[in-house]
Amino acid sequence: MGSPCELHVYAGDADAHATLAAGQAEVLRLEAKYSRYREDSLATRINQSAGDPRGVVVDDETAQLLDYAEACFRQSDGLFDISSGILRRAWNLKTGRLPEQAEIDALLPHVGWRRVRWQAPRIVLPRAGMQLDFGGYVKEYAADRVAALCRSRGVQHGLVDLGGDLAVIGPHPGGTPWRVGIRHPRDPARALGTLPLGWGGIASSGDYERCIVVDGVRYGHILDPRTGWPVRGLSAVTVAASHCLVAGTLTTIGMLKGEQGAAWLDSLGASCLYVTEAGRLGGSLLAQPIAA
Amino acid sequence: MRDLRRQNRAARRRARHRKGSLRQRKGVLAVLSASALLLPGLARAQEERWSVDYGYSLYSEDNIDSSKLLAGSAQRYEIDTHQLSMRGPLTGRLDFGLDIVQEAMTGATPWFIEPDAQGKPMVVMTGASIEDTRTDFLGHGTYYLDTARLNFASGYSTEDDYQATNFSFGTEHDFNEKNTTLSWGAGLSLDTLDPTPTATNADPSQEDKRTISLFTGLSQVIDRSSTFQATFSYQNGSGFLSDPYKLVTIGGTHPADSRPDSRNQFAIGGRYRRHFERVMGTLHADYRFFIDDWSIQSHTVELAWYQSVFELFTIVPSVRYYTQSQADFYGPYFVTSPGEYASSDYRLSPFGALSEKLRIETRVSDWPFHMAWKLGASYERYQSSGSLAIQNVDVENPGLVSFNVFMLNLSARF
Repeated sequence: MGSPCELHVYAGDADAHATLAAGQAEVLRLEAKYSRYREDSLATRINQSAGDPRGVVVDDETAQLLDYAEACFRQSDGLFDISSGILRRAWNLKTGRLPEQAEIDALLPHVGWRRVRWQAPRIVLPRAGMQLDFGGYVKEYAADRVAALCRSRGVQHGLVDLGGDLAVIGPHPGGTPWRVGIRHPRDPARALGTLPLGWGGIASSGDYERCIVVDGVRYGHILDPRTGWPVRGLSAVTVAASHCLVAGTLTTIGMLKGEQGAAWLDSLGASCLYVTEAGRLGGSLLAQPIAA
Repeated sequence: MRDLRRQNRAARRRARHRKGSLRQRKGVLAVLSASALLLPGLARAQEERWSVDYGYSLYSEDNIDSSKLLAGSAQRYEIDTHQLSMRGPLTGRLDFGLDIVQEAMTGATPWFIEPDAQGKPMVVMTGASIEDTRTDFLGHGTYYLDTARLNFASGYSTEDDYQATNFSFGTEHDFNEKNTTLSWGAGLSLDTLDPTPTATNADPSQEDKRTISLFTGLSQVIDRSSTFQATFSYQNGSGFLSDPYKLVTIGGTHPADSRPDSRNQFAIGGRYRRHFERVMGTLHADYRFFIDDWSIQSHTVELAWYQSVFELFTIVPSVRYYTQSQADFYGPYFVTSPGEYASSDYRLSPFGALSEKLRIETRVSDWPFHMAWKLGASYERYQSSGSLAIQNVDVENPGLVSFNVFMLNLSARF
């Protein structure tokens, strides 16, 4: 999944080696199915069908992932949009240069979940060049899946860590919660604090992950599907929720809300912690016993 | 650290200022969490914890009105109930639960009905000496398959004069992309009565009763916010179905309550649930029609509103209406023998009942002891009378009951 993955389980819970292998196999299965970089993946097959009015008939799991993406699109007023990945063609963060507005304008007509025709089990990308990107939430879904898989094999205590997106299998033996360190967005070596996590999942997002800095302005990798430009307002967001998937979606939507992100996260009722571009800390997790 | 605290206070102030938008935003979290649960494998992630529940209830029947009481104690039943239950996962696919109920009952109950000089039926109550305790054990389990659940249970209940052993099994099967659930179940209860000797029956014999029940239901998700369930159930009781502690009045004599040794009961019902996202409330509307071969028919309508208040409390006001016709061998009292069977039990009489209930529930997560807590309390008022029945009731059974129920429960998940 392009980032370090760790699975912590207490051996003796069950056959630890077999469980680790099964967890790894599940991550690889989802990567093979949903990576847009792999020629033989389902994601690639869907994207290659763009412009074909017959579209692609998908399996149940994919149908449910598409339903989830649709729910996120609606709940975020169109900000969470899995068809917006194509905008990255203009924002090649490796080159370190800003794109021309014309480059972005040329891509925008190919962006928009509203244009996608999704009626289970058939997905149709009506315009050639359109693309879906499952990368924005499949990693979190994979963390939840691996945690569920471990539990179904009898593992009661463990933690799944897929590149910083965490799903709890169960607390330490004896019920002690896991202590999760939260990084400071401007100083990754420094922890903002540690958070006790006994169940559910946690996910983080921030402009520290991938960005370019031009004339002192930081352009992050999270792009507004309506304008094609990186959003500004929050530097980093961490959310804890019932599932890693829900936590991950909320961090993404929070970042996409830009200047309104902080207020939106405050009013959400979810456990969260954020840092604004101005460096202000906020979120309900501040009220939790965080050991700094 | 001081900075953290100051910013924390500021965050709380801001949150208070934004209370107006609070309701709408909480919806986002609820909708996404519910959507995530539809994904394969994620549905049970929250439930895979052990929980322990304790409940206490006080059921208290109104004293019988002196204008209806001929003899005996006016003080009717009072039942104290303590319930302890625990449930949780044994393995990833198997849940197990154990419920223990202890009831202590005191008070008097209608014994028989005697007409006064004007022919008006008057109740003769048992003495206030009845005291009994019932203990009930129930073990139950659920085995989870990918699109189906198997449920099984077995219980044992014992009190001074009554023992019951029961078994049940059922399945729930999801299809049509989990929008439709078909369920069925079967149960068997084997009961033994050992009636305590009474003034009129010094040496009662031991009696048996067997109950077989079958159930089937179909639930359908109608749209994002509403579901409907249709149910059908059948129950067959056989053996000793009379009440060993009741008599009837037949022309001045008082033979024992006597009922057929078989009863077939059928019920069909519908349950509608609709969530109103804008006001964070859910309507529950239930209807049930019942008919048996003792010629009783009944209708039950229940409406409940589940109101979430800032996701801190749930307040549930509900109202239930019930009306039934009488059994064919029922009479308040008899001048001449009605035949083989006769009963004056108010539960077999024609009547209607109305009950109002208010329940409040609150949840606290992660504190204290990193457990999720749930605290609930409810009050119910139930009143029955002949005039509440849908049909015209000429002679109301004077033993009809009205009662209050207070309930408290505390649940911890860890």
